[in-house]
Amino acid sequence: MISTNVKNIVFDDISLAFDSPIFISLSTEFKANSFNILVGQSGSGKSSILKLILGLLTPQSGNIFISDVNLNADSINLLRNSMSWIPNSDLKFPNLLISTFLTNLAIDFNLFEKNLLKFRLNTEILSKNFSEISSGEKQRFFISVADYFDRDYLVCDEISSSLDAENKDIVIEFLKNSNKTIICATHDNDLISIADNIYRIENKGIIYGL
Amino acid sequence: MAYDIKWIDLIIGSTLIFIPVALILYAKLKLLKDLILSMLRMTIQLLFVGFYLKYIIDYDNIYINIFWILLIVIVGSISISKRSEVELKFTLVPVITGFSFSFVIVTFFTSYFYFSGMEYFTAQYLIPISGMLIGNSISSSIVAIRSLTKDLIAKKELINYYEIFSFSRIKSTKESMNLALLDSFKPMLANIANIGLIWLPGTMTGQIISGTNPMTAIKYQIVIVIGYFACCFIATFISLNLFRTKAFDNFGILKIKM
Repeated sequence: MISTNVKNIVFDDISLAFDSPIFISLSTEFKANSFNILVGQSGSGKSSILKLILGLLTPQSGNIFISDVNLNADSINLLRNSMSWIPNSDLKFPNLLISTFLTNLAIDFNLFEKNLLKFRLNTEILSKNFSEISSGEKQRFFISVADYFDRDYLVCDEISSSLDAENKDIVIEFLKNSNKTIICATHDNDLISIADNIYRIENKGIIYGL
Repeated sequence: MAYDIKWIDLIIGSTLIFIPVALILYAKLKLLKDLILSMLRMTIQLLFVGFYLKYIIDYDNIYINIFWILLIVIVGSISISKRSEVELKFTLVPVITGFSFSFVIVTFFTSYFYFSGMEYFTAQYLIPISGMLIGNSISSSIVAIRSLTKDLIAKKELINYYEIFSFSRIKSTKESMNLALLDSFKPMLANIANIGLIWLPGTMTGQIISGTNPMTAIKYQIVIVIGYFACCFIATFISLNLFRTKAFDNFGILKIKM
């Protein structure tokens, strides 16, 4: 079901720099209830866009509005409650048992089983450590967690980079049918081909369309 | 009274250091500069403190005593903050607050229980005992802050993930906090367990040389060991908790670097 309360994500005159500028006066809008894809060369700032939306990076200037709410220190917890993050599989969670991780997130193991099965994982994974599962399993695991939380915004970083064809089809079906506001950074042509909107990062800014 | 070493004998006897210097030169170790600097600093600092202590013990003014202790707490805290390799703006206030609280608690116990039969707040007791408490606490606090910082940095991505899914930061950093306390206090407890077996600590050795009854010296040593452990643990516990609060920004993102 499409949520009517969910509105666009608006970047208004955003500047972000680390050692050198990443974005200069970037303004754009990611459409609500649609599948938005971010493309661009490695290091162009795709992940930075995702981290700005999640409040993991703070811009030097400009504002971000999510469903008309200005993203700042006061609103961040409220806004994060409407977001799920699917990180890329390079993410390192050292020496952490998956069952501990799920307990920390207050996930009900019985309910979660169906989310695991949907992405061709089983409950054996619960007794494993993050370092013991493959990149592809890790990717599907993070997707199943996001599926469990069922939040309005889905922020994904290279969601399919380690998936084989069969698993990728399952993930593509999930994204197509989710009716969520998805912002996904990717190099994967299969994902690009099903996107509603494509945003290309170039010259420290964003261009709509390929 | 202990036999007073003559200044000339002290100088001649200190030529003992030339043996390690010769060995360092022979092995071509890059340690000579550090050795000379450390020995010079130690000698100058001790001479300065010796003259100063003689003056404040003779003068024995409560305000000067308190000022001296404040100075010890602040210099100790700056030393901890600097040597932990974390920016001072994150460490200094937590460490000074932790040590101040802890020091008041430990001094209250020491004066009220151990030295209830006499005036503890005299320069002769207050200043050397306070110095021992803070001095012995420094290295453990450094270990704790470094360990916490390293572990938080290693788990940054995980903590970020937890932030997004609303898992409390106090809980998500609990393991790192506990690890920091274990890293810091396990070696200290192992050392304490060896006191009397492998080594005789400074306070006791000094008192015995000065002609104090060994049983009295032992009691003083126990006061010091329990005091510095309590002082260090309370101080580190408070400092780490305050440090953790300062280590994250308003968005829950870790901002400390090493």
